[in-house]
Formats: sequence, C-alpha cells, structure tokens
Amino acid sequence: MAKDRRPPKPIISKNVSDASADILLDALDAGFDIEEIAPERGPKVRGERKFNQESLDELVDMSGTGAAIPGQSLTNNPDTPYAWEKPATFSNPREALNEITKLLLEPEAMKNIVRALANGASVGDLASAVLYAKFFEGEINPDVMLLLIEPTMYLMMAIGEEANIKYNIDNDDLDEFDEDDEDVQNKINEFKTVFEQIKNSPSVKNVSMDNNILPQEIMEQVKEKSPQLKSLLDKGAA
Amino acid sequence: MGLFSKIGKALKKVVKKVGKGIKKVVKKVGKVVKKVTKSKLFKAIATIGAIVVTGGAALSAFGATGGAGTFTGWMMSKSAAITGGTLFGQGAQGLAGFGNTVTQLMSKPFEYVGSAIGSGARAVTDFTGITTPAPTTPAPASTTAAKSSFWDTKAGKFVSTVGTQVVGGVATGYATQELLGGDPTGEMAGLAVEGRSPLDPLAVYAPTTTISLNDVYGQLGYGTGDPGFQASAELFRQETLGVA
Repeated sequence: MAKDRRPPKPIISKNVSDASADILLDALDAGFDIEEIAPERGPKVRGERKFNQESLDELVDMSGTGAAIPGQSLTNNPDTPYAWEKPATFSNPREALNEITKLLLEPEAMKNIVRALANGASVGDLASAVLYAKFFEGEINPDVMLLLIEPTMYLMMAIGEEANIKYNIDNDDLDEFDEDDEDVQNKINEFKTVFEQIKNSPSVKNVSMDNNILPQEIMEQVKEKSPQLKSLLDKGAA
Repeated sequence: MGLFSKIGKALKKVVKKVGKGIKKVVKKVGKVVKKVTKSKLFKAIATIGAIVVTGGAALSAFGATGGAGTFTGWMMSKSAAITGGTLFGQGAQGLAGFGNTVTQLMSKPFEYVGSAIGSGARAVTDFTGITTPAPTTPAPASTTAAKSSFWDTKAGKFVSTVGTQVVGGVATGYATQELLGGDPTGEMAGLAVEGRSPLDPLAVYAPTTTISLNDVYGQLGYGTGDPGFQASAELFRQETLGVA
C-alpha cells in the first residue's frame, strides 16, 4: 500500500543542480527512501576512455587542414548568409530545450548517447557537440546555446543512469564520487576495527601485576619510605 | 580570434563550470544526508534533474510510471496543480487567471509526448542488456516525417542517427497514453482538495531573491514551482497582445 506523504514544496532555482538538490532533500524529508528515488540496479558498466589510433589520426588530419583566413567570412555574399547568420529558429530557451529534449529522447539518439557514454565520452563533450551543432545549423543563438548546456547535460546524465553506465561528467572523472565513498568507508572500517579491538581486549581489571619487575628489597624500601595514605575516616579517628 | 573560437571557448568554460557545479551540489547534499554514498546521491540528483528539465518526459520515456506512491508520481503531482489554476494563488492574480484557461487545456502535451516516445526509448535502453524489456503496447507510428539534422555533421558523428523521427502533436501523444494505460500523472479530480502549500503565493517558496516574479516567463528557471515545469512549453506559446 502506498504511503501517504505530504505534497512536494514548490521550488524554483536558476540552475538545475540546485533545484535537483532541493527537491531531493524535500523528497527525503517527505519520507522517501533514497532507494525509491534512485534504485540500485547492480554493477555499472564502466565508461572508460580507450585509446584509438584511428581517431587520433583523424584528429591530426583535421587539424592539418588549416583554418579560415582572417576576414574570410566577410567575403561571403550577404544574400546567401550562413545558417548561423540568420535569426535563430528558437530564440526562447524553453522552446529550444523542448526541441532538444524531444530529439535526445528519440530511441536512435538514446542508443547513440548510451554507446558514446559507454565508450568513455564525457557528458559535457556530448552536450557541447549537440548544442554547438544546433547553433551551427541556425536553430539556436549562442546565448541560448550556453543557457542550455546544464539541462542538456542533466538529460544525458539521466540517460546514462537509466542505462546503468558509469560515465564521465567532464573529461576523465569516472571515479570522482567513488573516491569520497571509499574514504568514508575506510574511516568506518577503521572505526569498526578499533572498536572491535577495544571490545575484545582483556579488561584492565584482569591484568595481573607482575611483581618481579622490581627487586623485592627495593619494593620494601618504597613501602617504608612512602607516606601512609589514610582514608578520611581514618584521619578523623586519629 | 574568430567568432567560432570564442564560442568554442565559452562553451568549454561553461561546461567545466557546470561539471564543477554538479559535483559541488552532490557534496553539499552529502553533508546533509549522512549514511548515503555520494554515488547514490549523484544518481538521485541526475534523475531528478532530468525530471525537472523535461517535465517528467524523461522518466516516461524510460518506461517509468508516475503512479500514486511512487517518487515520480509524487514529484509530478505538483504539475497537476496547475490544471485547477490554483497553483499561483492569491499572490499572482494574473497568473491564476491564466492558469484557469490556457494551461488547463495545454498543460501536459510534453508529458504525453514523453509517454509516446517512451515505449520505444525503453527498448533502446534494453539494447544494452542491462534493463529488461517492458511488456508494453507498441506506440503508434509517428505522424511527422523524418527530420535529418546536425547529427549528421562530423562534429556529432557519434550521434549521427538522431533526429530521424519527431513524434508529433498532442493528439498522437494522447492516443498513445490511452493505449499504454497506466496511471494518469498530473491529473486531478475536479473536487480534489489541495494541500495548503500549493495555494500559497509563489514567492514564499522561491529560495533566492534573484528571481523576479514579474519576469518569470522570460527566465529559464528550474524546479517543481517553475511555470515551465508546470505547464511545459505550451504555456509560452500563448498569444500576446500587441502594445501600441
């Protein structure tokens, strides 16, 4: 039977990260368990980068083709402008975001994204490529492009999570959160070990004193010369 | 430096910043929520982020149901409030009136579209062999023609086949929803009694003062209280009055 939980609080933030964090805290506060929000689905596929000589050669070839001569764009006929020189199709970021979301949630697109993430491409690089290409095609203007980086990254991250892939967010940071988790786990283990040691160690009461450490003569001298300690009751009687 | 170099640099800079922001937020939440590993928190934040961005379409696309008691259903229940036009409360009279008319008719096309793509998209995640195929009715064929695009460019070669289909129209989405069945997310019965919080003025919950309520439609905000999350894109395709 479904639990009766309080409704979510309306949250507005200027960035997705803060909004998500606030909603997560709100959900946990409302009684959700982290497993209900992000259920565990076994070990993830590691999206590790692999060296590919073919790709490197292609990149080298591309970099060797040269760049445009300064001012070359100004020689273009004004009657036939480039796509990105015309007014953008979407100037409203919300509309542009919906368009991009629709494209990314297409089965074929998702398939490609999942494959790319599994091959070690970072979410940031994928989002950049998609948005840059959208700008180049004249669908969005540069401002909208920059505004849409974060939501696009989040969408791709969700696709990666759904496919149970351990992916890079930006460059090579595959084990970013694992290291922290490992630190915490190590500390917990350390504490447990120490606790067990204390628990299992013989108690102080059971430790027998070794009377043979000092020679018997010296012990007697100490007894003689040391002040006699009396209890308060003894002092009173004296 | 040319235009494209500048744009490329800006893009790289923002991506780096966003990446850092994501990690920072996970660490911040990790300080509040103890006993949960950061990788788990990251997963939760990524999932919630996608729901926020797409208005639930992402999860529908993955085949998740927004039934009562589930996290998705809980989160999307905020989206339902707008159907009654009561969400914006007394604090914003103009918006409240608006919510009663246009948004009532067009509040969830994007969710429906998400459901429409859902059955197919789920199959795609199944191709990895990690998720198990869900027994769903196949979605009806897309109504619009293929739309080839930038994905074919060299820069986006890895995602080259994207954009071959655009699921079109509210009608198709609605029909799919009917076919697929499941719990209707974001719908509320006419006599349903709202909790107190959705009736409060919007400003009460805005965590930062940097958001201007007068200009809320012009800004790209995120969250369960954001009008974009509430009403999806259709809210912003309203007819506007010309100013003389």
